[in-house]
This record gives sequence, structure tokens and C-alpha cells, in this order.
Amino acid sequence: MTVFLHAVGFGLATSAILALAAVAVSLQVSVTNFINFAYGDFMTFGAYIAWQLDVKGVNIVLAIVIAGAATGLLGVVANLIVFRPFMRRKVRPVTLLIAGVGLSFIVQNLIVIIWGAEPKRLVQTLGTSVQVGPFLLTTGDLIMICTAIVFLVLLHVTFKYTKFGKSLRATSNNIELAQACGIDSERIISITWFIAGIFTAVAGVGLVLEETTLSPTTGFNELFIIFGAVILGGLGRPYGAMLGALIVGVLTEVAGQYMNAAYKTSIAFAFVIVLLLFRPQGLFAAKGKTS
Amino acid sequence: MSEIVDIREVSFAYGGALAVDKCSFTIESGKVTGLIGPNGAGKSTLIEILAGRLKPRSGTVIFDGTDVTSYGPAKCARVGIVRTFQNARVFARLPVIENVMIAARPQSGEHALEAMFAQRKWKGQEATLRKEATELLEWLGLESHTHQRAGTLSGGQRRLMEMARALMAHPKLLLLDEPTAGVFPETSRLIATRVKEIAEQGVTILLIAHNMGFLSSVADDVVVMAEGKVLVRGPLETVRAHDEVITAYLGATVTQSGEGAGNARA
Amino acid sequence: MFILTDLLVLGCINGIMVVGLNLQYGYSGLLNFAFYTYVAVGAYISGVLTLGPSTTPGVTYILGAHLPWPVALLLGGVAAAILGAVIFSFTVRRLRSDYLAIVTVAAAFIFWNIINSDVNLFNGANGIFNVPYITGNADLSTEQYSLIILALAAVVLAACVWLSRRIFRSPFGRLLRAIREDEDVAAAFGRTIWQSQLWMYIVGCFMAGLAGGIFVFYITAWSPSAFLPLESFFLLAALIIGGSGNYWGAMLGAFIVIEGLNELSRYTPTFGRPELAGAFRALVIGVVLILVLRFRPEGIFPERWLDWYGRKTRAAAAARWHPANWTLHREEPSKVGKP
Repeated sequence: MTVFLHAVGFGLATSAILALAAVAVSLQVSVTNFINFAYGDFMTFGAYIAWQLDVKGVNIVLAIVIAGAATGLLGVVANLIVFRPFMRRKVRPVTLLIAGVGLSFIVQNLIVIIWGAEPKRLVQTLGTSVQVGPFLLTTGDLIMICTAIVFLVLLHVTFKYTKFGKSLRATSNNIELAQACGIDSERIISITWFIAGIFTAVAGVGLVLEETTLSPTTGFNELFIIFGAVILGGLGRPYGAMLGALIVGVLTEVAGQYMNAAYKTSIAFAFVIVLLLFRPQGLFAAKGKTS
Repeated sequence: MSEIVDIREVSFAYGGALAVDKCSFTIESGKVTGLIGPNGAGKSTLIEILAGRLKPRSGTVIFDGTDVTSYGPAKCARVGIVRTFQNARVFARLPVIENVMIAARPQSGEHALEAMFAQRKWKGQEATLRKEATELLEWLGLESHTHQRAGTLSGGQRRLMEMARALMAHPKLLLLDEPTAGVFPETSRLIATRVKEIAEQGVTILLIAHNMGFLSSVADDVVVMAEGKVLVRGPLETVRAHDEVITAYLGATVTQSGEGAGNARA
Repeated sequence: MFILTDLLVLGCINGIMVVGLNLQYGYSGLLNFAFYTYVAVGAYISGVLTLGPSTTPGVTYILGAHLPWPVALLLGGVAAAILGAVIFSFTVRRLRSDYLAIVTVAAAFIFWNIINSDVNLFNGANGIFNVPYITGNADLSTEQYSLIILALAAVVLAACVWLSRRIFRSPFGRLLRAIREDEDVAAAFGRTIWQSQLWMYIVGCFMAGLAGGIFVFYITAWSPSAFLPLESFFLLAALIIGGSGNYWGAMLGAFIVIEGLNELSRYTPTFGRPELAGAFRALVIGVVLILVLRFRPEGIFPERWLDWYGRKTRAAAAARWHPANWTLHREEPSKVGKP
């Protein structure tokens, strides 16, 4: 039983990371209507920036903030250079997908070129375990969970109570109508990419804290589990993504405890496949988007 | 003449809104029947049901003795129900003649294995089809556009091409959804002539139209739908003067000027 | 000299792959990020069917047999085709493009993971090796053997291109193009979409299997490091850059993107870090891919260059603009009201 609860505890930490990333993806999908395959590499990028600062001895929280801003900027630039020209021409969704793949190549290999391919470790270790209720968590895990909660609450507040949040919801619902009402959808989209970038970076750092090593493919390896969480919650629904992340995170950890660890990622991928084949609309039907 | 289409108590709803409400009527073989009514009356929905793209919530459709209610669009086409679309849809990057040729069934060259390894078998068929397609295009006045990409055709030309394509499929029942919408009067007259000639060859035609002039020159009789039900049925002149029909189109205002009333789209 | 032969062999093998992928993506519009998995299936099956049962302790795999190499090659292709048919029925029929992409990558990864971890299937991470030369025990230098493999690969590539051409010029090819243009209208004229696509998927997988078989005969070994799920992306990038839908474009993509960049990356300065070569290659592919998608989405050799009715279509288009053909209402048919 303790093993099970510990697994659930690990699952919570995983879920925190997944939730941040999944919300980022869902947010961006809700306004732009396509899935960006380069998100995993955005996570890696944020993690590397944080690591670089960590090596220089910068406080971990400050490092996360800077990494978040940097990744947000990356998202905005990516949108400007890569995706917006395509979206302006109303290309087929396949094209955007493949462009995302190309972007993934670019970001991932830029990381290899700049920082090299050998795995890195965080200098400041946060691995001491702490007993919190029935769960056994590391300090790093705790930080992640708290950060995730803070960010998600902030997001929720922004959504519900700010003008930006309302504009965002309008744009994600019906972009032409929102434009007709005077909402500058381009600006909204850029800001959304920025926010998604921040979330992604924090998730990336969380990944490093959890896996203790960082390599250029760290983020990409998580990409499909993130997609699983997003789709489970309903594509384009950030709140659904949070729930999806919780379920997926806990499930994978629990399953991983009882099955061969080498297959842990495969289990997650298999879950995604089954989900897409049998219930692609997720738990709550995705907002009506055409393919 | 026998009844080739028998629509019995067909109902269909989009979400909560009932578009077709226990609609029933029959169509006689070889006749041209017009389907008219104000917008939202359920005409296009009924065509989609007949063509197999939508499944009715209740009711049956009998075509030539077979129950085709559950047939999808491909199966409907195979039993001889062919349709055109409200906004003329063409395969834009294919040449006009290929657009037409593709409608013919069955084509042996369309099976992957035969396409790859049995070239002699379909080369002959291709030549025959090409000839037939060219003749059809000539008949509809499009022969100068045979090798153009279909995307470059104008609206009226696309409608003519759609008719050629539909005919290539040797239909038994031809469903025309607004065949003269957005078309020059001369083209409209050409379409009318062709429609009558097609009917003379034994094809049953059901068409949606709003242009009373066009209807009066092609339709043998007319079914008026409103709010998903059949309101009245009969020859166009009788139906036009029917009180309920005028109310359905125009609300309470009653006018007797035939063309104007007929052309009003609610 | 050997370098040239090696280049050509790899170019041909990759050419077969991209031509196969062209049938799936270029002709039928099906996204397949698991394509290299089929290549791997062909490689493994062809390999073990010529290797015979394992005689070395510690090396385990299924299906050892001493079949003649043409049979093994064909069976490799068939195995890939069967797997393709199964996967198609489960996934491609039901999924829209982005979900299909996710599922195929996930499937490729799972497949890779299982083969890598389960030693009993194909000897896990170490893979199979010592696959016999197709020439039997003849005493040949590496160079001479490469030339023989080059001949085999070139012949198979030519056959695949010939098949692609046949399909393109047939009514089936026309149907595929129509389905790509407007599925609903194609269905409205009695076509079952997925049946046509299934055949192209199967043939594409068969070609992948053949390529894998030839590959394993060439390098006489195969292991999970040879078919990282990443490779499927590169193949797709190669196809798009070369010209999707055009079999010459497919070959061009294979030679330039896969081969050419491979070679180029050998000569890039690495400043003592060997992983830079691969990174540069992937980076360049990513940039070129996005540029192509943006400025020349049909690729270097676009599909329309293949039009066998192209001459007539171009003439018709040119004729439209010729002053002699101008009428007052240019858009209307020239003979109106003719009985």
C-alpha cells in the first residue's frame, strides 16, 4: 500500500509538470487550432537556460523566471517567423504540423550545437526526500507542485477576471467574430504564445528536477505524454488539460511501479494511442474545431 | 408510369432543430419534379438524405423497390442516385475532362492491382470513356474548356460541368440542387433544354430551384415544402396561386406578379 | 571510388523508401511517421531468414532460416505490407491528420522500445549481425560487393518508379487525385475512399520492407540504433522538399536530403564534438523544410510537372489568354443554346 501511495505521490509531481505543459499546449491550440510538435523542445530549451544559469550560481527561482521569459520569447518569435505566415495563407493543417516538426529539428539541434549532447546535471541539488502526509516527495517535487498550483491559479484569475482573459476566450471561441468585435487577435495570439512559453519552460525545469539529468531530447520524450493529457482533457480546453495531466501523471507512475520500468514510456504512448482510437474527444468533448 | 422514389414519413433534425418533419411524397419515373419552398423549408436537407449523406431520424426512402434509407453516399451512387451540389464542387486541379470521366462506373482501371499490372484491360475502357466525356461536354457547350483545370471555370460553367459529370454516371435518379443559381439567363436556358432532354431519355429528375421561369420550362410538377413538411403538390401554375404557398413564401403579403413573387428568396 | 558507390547504394535504398512514402503521402495524403518501422521490419525479417537459427550463445532471435535471399527479401516486404495493412485498418481509417501523426509516432516508438528491450525478438539492443552476403561464399572485396548491391538496389528502385508511374497515369491515379481534391464529391460518385488508400498504404509499406531488406544485405547487420523513430521524419522532409506526389521528386529528395546532407555533414568541422555533424544535418533539414513549405510547398519537382495531360492543359491555359479567343463574355461557353 505504501508503494502505491508513494507512486501516487510521484504521480502528483509528474502531474504538476504535465499540467503546466498541457495547459500551455491547450491554450495555444485553443487560439491557433493546430498542435505544435516543437513544444517538447521548447521545454528542453527552457530547461537548458535554467541549467546554464544554475551553473553560474544563480538562484533557482530567478533562473526559472529568466528561463520562462526566454522561452516565452522563443514562442513569440517562432509564431512570428514560422507559424503566422502559414496561418495567414490558410494552409492545410498538415502543413502546420510538419512546420512544427521542422521547428522541432531546429530547436533541438540548436541546443545540441550550443550546449552539446552529453547529459547535464543541475548543480544545486534539490533531491532530499521529505515525508508529506502519505507521500514521499523530494524538495524539488514540492517546489514543482507548488509552482504549478501558483501558475495555474494565476492563469485561472487571468482568464476569468482580466480583459485579456476575456479577449482570449473570445478568440479561442470564434476568431473571426472576435476580430469583428475589435479584438486584436494577432496580439492575443502572440501573448498566448508567450504565456505558453513560460509555462513550458517551468515544466521543462520540473522535468530536470525530476529526472536529475538533462539532455537535448528530454523534452521531446515527454511530448506525447503531454499530448495524451491534452487530448484526454479535450483539445483546446485548458481546464480539461489540467485534469488530463493529473490522470495521466498518476496513472503512468502507478503503472510504472508494477511493470517493467523499461516499458514505462511505452505504456504512456500506448495509452495515448488507445485514447485517440477510442475516445479522441477526451473526457469533455473538444471545442468544435475542424481538422 | 411507376413511382421510382417513395419517401415515407422521413424526419431529420440538426441538433434540436427539426429540419424535415414526417415528409412524404413520391416521384414518378421519367418525370422532372421541382422541389420548392422558402429558405429553411428542408429542401436541401431532403436532397442530402436522398443522396445518402444524412441519415433520417425516422422514416424510409424506397428507391426502385429497394430500401435505401441507410445507404451512404457511395452506395447511393452505385444504385443510380446521382447529385449535384448547391455550390458547384469540382476537382479544381484536375482538367475538366478528367472531372467528368471520373464519374463513370465501374472502371476496371480504378483497382490498384489492375492499375499497376493490367494496363491493357483499362486502356481500351479509358478511350471509350474519354470519347463519351468529350461528347457530353460538347453537348453542354463546354468543349473549348476540355483540357482546362476545372478550378478556372466560371460559376455557370461549373454547373454545366457538374451536369456532364452527373450524366457520365448514368444516373437513374438525378438530384439537382439549384442548377441555375448565379448563372446567366442564356446558360439557364441551355440548362433547361438539357434537363428536358435528359428526362426524355428516361432519367428521373428532382431539382431544387427558385427561379420560376426556369421551373416553368422544365418541371412537370412541383412539390412545395415549408417547415419540413410537404405543403402542396401539383403543376407549377396551380401551386403558385395556392394561398398557403404564397403565405409560406411571403408571410401575410399577397402579390400576383408571378416572376417577382417567384424570385423572392425569403 | 568506394565512396561514390556507397553514396549511390544508400541513395538508391533511400530512394526506394521515399518513393514508397510518396505513394502514401504524396498520392494518398496519408501521414505516416512510422514509415521507418516498416523498413526495420523488412530488414529484420530478411536478415533472420537468411541468417538461419542462432548458433552463437547470447544471440537470440525468432524465425531463423536459411532461405535464398530473393525469397527472404520478398518475405521482408510482405511482412512489412501485412503489418501496414493491420495498422491501417486500426488507425488510418479513423483518425484525422494530427491525431494520426501522434499515433504513428507513438506506435513507432513503442515498436522500437519493444524490439530494443526484448532480447528474444531480435536480440534486443545488439541486433542481428553477420547476415550472409547475397552472393554466398564468393570471395569479394567490399567494393565489389557494393557494386552488386548497387545493381540490386537500382533495379528495385527502377521497378518502384515504374510502378509509381503506372499508378499515376491510370484511372486509379486519377481517383486518388480526386480524393485528395474533394473527398465528399468522390464519395458522392460511388467511391470508397479508404479502400483506395489502403492499397497505396500496403504497396508503400512493401517498398519500405524491400528497402530494409536490401539495406540489411548491404551492411550485414541491423539493430535498433539503425531505425530511430527520427528517421521517418527525415524521410518525410526529404519527400516534401524533393516534391511530394512526384516520383522524380521523391528520388531527388532521397539523394539530396538524406544522402547529400549525410555526406556534407561528414565534412563539416566538428570542433572536436562528433555529435555536431548530425546536429547540423538535422538543423539544415529543419530550416530547408520550413522554407520549402513556405515558398515552394509543392517541392523542387512539383507534381504538376508530371502531368501526362500537361501539355494539353498548358496549351488550353495559354489559349485562354490568346487575343484570338477573347469574346465579350469570356467566361461563358462559346456555343450557347445549341441543340
